[in-house]
Formats: sequence, structure tokens, C-alpha cells
Amino acid sequence: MEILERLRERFEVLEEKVQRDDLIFVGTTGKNLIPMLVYLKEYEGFKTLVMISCVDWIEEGKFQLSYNLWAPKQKKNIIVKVFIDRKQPNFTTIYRIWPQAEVYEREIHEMFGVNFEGNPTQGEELILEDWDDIPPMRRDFDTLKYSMEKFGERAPKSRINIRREISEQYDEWRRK
Amino acid sequence: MDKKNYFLDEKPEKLTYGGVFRKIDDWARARSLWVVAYGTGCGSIELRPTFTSRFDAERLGMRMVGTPRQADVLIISGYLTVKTLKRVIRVYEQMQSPKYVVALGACPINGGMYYDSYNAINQLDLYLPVDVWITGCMPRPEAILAGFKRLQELIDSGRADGWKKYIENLDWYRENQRKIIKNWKMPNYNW
Amino acid sequence: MWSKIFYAFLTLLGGIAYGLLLGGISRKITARMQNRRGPTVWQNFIDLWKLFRKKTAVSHGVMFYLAPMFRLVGGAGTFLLVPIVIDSPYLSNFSFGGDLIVIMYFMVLGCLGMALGAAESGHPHAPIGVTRGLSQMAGYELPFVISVVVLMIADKTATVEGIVRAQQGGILHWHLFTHPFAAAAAFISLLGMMTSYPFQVVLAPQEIAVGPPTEYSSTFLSYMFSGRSVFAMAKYLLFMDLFLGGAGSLLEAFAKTFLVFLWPLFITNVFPRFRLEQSVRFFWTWPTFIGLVDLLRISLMR
Repeated sequence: MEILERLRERFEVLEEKVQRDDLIFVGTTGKNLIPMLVYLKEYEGFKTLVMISCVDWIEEGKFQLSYNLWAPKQKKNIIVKVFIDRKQPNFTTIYRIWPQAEVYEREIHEMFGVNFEGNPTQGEELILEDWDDIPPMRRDFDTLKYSMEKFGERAPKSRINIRREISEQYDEWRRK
Repeated sequence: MDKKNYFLDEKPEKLTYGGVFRKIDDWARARSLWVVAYGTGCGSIELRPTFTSRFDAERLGMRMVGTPRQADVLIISGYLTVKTLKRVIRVYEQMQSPKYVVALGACPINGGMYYDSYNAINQLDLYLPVDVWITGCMPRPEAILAGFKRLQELIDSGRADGWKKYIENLDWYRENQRKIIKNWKMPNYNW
Repeated sequence: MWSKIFYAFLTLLGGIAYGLLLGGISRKITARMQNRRGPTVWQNFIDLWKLFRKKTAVSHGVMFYLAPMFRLVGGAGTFLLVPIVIDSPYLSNFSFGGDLIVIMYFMVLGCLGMALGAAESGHPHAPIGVTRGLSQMAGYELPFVISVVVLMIADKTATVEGIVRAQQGGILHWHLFTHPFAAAAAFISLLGMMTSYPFQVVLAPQEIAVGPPTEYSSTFLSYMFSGRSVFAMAKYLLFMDLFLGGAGSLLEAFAKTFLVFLWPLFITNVFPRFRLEQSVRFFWTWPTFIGLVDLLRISLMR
């Protein structure tokens, strides 16, 4: 792939993988990310940011951020990966390159707790209103336990007597 | 105008229900169910065929209306997240009584496939009074129609009284609702 | 005098009932055209009863309460000014000299009351719907007024009764055939008045939910419901009197209003919807010019 050679000339490429003819993975360091994204956008025609996603590598103590780009003319995808420290998940926003990145970064902040410096809407509620625990998509978050504590036990399978059951609960509550 | 005027922030008085026309009222209510067009989850995709040509719920006298003020039935279609629950409570309280709730699918009953989700509730009847449950994931339009038939029977015989239960046990429901909605930025009562 | 008021009241009730029945029939026909069974033709009566007996617990101010009444009074006023059966002492309603102009004013009253009430309800969809409704009204009033002026000039009278009398003596004396262009303009503007589908911009369910009555519930809605049906009835009767030669008996009135009722119904079921500016532009071009043809013809022939 010619594009990989051109990238290798200019930036520090940690890993590379050609998945298909139209899908390439490139790993790089945090310092090189923004120059690489700008280069890909302005020189290689990867004009669209499809999405940003995040992976929690809990054993290695790292978060992986993947920036998925799309080149409309060549009809090619490139995914730029970058690893950041899990204990201090700070990174730089790219919303000045693609404005739509703002929302993706906001969601990743909400779900993984990654801190994107310079993102103007960082910390505003997107999906989780009034969240009161560690970010739920981290792998050390026990979702079943949380669900049981907050929303109660899973109701019994047979719910034929459901109306009676609820009215019993009313009475119990009134007696208190 | 003062913003406070737009909703009533006081507890509703006990509703009297019945009178001379009670039989006719129940008969008419059962045959003219207006459904608020609000889909909370994946189940609302099944409501479109139910209400259009293929299954034609209009022959039962049902209609979709775009505003809770005019509606009689609220359909909880599928999983209900905490964020949606807030809106659902507001929609339910803006509806004028008598009003009915139909819960669609496995998720409102016991959490369904989202029983361990950090964001979907497990039991709907802790937060809203439910008149008819329709099981399935998702129920087919035939099942939904059968559920509506059941609701009609309940109304006809005067047994669909979830809205009365809600008013009588409002404090119990409020306690449950406030347990999961931490930041209650709504008026206390808004019907 | 008192007996006349009594009979007018009876006709009003009859008008509401027939309007509701026509609404039910239109729902049934629409359902049949879409290859489904549809509700019963009495569905609107059931809806009306249910709405009337529901609890109402919303307060938004005085005008909010008055608006459905305005709507009902506007509809009933229009209805009571249009003679149903000519020469009948009971069914000719309160027709008097120059009443055609009053009727045209009355037709606006309901919309204005609705506009005030909807503005007070405070819901954002309501003012949008009201703006659309009033703009649409400015659209369809123009061709309608032109065609009414044509009839006034042709018959040298401003009463509905006079216009009906001028059409007596056979089917070819109807204004539908003697002034076809004016009739065409008026019937196209009837589509706008009934907000039937190419011109359905006021309620516009895909865009602004239900438009002006978004905050209205229960009893208010039942008043509006009956007001709408009697208003529709008044329009059918007016068009029957203006273009289809009036009615000599109650049966004839039923038949002719049914004919007028079918016209917007069939149009509404086969067309998609205009946007607001397209709708107003349409009314100010085609029907207006068609109406002007007859106006020119009448003026030159005099």
C-alpha cells in the first residue's frame, strides 16, 4: 500500500495492518495523532470522520482510541489507533478538525471517563442523566450488581398475580 | 405570562368516577382509545403496522394523536431507560384521566434481555400503574391487537383503574421514581 | 319568533349530528380506499361523548377557555345564516338582505378565536399552526371572494336566498353550469377551507403534531370537534346554495350536501401535501385566474 509508505515517511507508525483492500489499521503515538489526521484529511482525501470509538484494555492498563476516517473519492477507510494511559486518561480534542467529533468525544467521556482537553461541551449529559457511579463502559464496572441495586431484583417469571402483588406493596408501604 | 401558570403544581384531588352515565362512559371509552404517539423503545416499530392498512387498529376505534393532552392510552413500547422514564412520567401526568398504560414486550415486565443493563429499568409497575401487559420480544401486531381487545374488556367492565391507583398511591410511586431519578427537575405534579 | 328560534336550535343540533355522521362516513371511505375496514360510521359520536366526559384539569387563562366557544359560535353562526330549504318557514334559518357578506365575515371568526386561544396555550406548535392557518386563509379567501362577487354581479343580489332563486328552473340554471369558471375557483378554494389533503398545512401531523389544538383536552376538544363539524356542514350548505341550486326539500338538501362533501374527500385521499408557501402560491395563481375569467366575462357582458 502506497499510503502506508507515505505515512511511514512522515510519522512514527507503531503498527499497521491491511485488513481488506479498502480498510487499513494504523497505530501511532499520541503526539503524532493530530498531524497525521490533518495530513490524511488535507493531502490524502480522507475528508470524513465516520466515528471515534474507545476500547478498554484493562489488563494492559490502556485505553485505545480509534479514529475511523473515510475517503469518498477512493472509497477507502482508514482507522487510526492511539493508546493512552488508563490511570490518567487525558487526551486532546480534535473537534477543530472535524466539528462532529465534539459529540463522539462527549459520549466517550461519559462512557469511559476519557478527558478530552479543549472540548467545549465536555461533561454535559448526553445519555446518562444524573449518573452516580464510575463510567459504565469501563470493564471494572459491575453492571449486574449496579442494576440489581438500583432497579431492584429481576421480577419473578410468572406474573399472573401482578396486580395483587403491587397492591400488597402499597399496603406494606403504608404500614411503615 | 408567569411560567408557573402552565402546569398545576399541586396534588390532584381524589377523582370521583361514576354517576348516572357510568355505563355509557365505560362503553364509549372502550371504543374510542386514542393512543399518544410516543415510542420509548424498539417496540414502537410494531405499532406502525398495527395502526396502518395491514392490521388496521382503527376499526377498534383507535387513533394515534400527537399530544398527551388528548390521549387515553400510553404505550410503553419496549425497554425504558432512566432518561426516557423521566419523559414518560411527564407524558403520563399530562394526560387527562381516565388514562391507561399498556406495557409492550418483555423489558417492562422483568427487564427482558436488558435485565443487567446499567440504564434500563427492570419493573415498570414500580413507577407507573400498568393496565395490560403484552409479552413477547417484540410482540407481533396480532398480539398487540389482542392486548387492546383485553384492555377494551377491562374498561368495559370498569376494571381498568390504574389511573385511580396512581392517584391514591401517588406517594409510593413518587418514592420509587425519585429513587432512580436523582435530579428531579420537574414540577411536583403536572396534570 | 320563538318558534323560529326553537326550529333554528333544532336545525343546529341536526347539523352537528349530520356533520359528525359525514365525518364518520369520510373515515370509512378513506379506510376502504386504503383497503382496510375502518371504524364504524358512528365513531365520531363515540369520540365526542368520550371527550365530553373526560376530566379537564388544565388551566391556561381566560382566552384558552373561550377559544373553543369562539370556534363553536363561529360555526353555528355561519350555519344559522345559510338557508337549508328555500321557501320553508322552518328550515330557511336567519337569512336576510346582504347576508352573504356577513357569512364571509363569520367564516373568519372561528379561526380568529382559535388563534387567540392557541396563542395563550403556550405550546410552541400552536402559534406555528395558527400562522399557517391564517396564511392559508389569506390564500383561499381570494378566489372564493372573486367567485362570490361574480355571482353577486350576475344575480344583482347579495343574499343567499336571491342567488338560490336565480337558479330555479332546471339543472342547467345552476351556477355550476352558468358560471363554470367561478364555480371551479370556488370549489378549489373549498379544498383549502376544508384543509383537505393537498392543502393540509394547519394540522400537518408529520410536522407539528396536531397544530393549534395541541394543548386542548377533553371537554374543550369536544366543543371544537362539534364546532368543526357544524362549520363543515355550513360550508357544504353554502356551496349547495351558491352553485347547486339550493334545495326544495330536506331530502334534496341531504343529497346535494353529500355531493359537495364527496369532492374534498376524494381529492384528499389521492394527493400528498403541499408546503405552506406552495399552497398559498397555488391559490393566488390558478383558482384566482380562473375566477377572474368569469369576472371579466360578467363585466363585459353587462
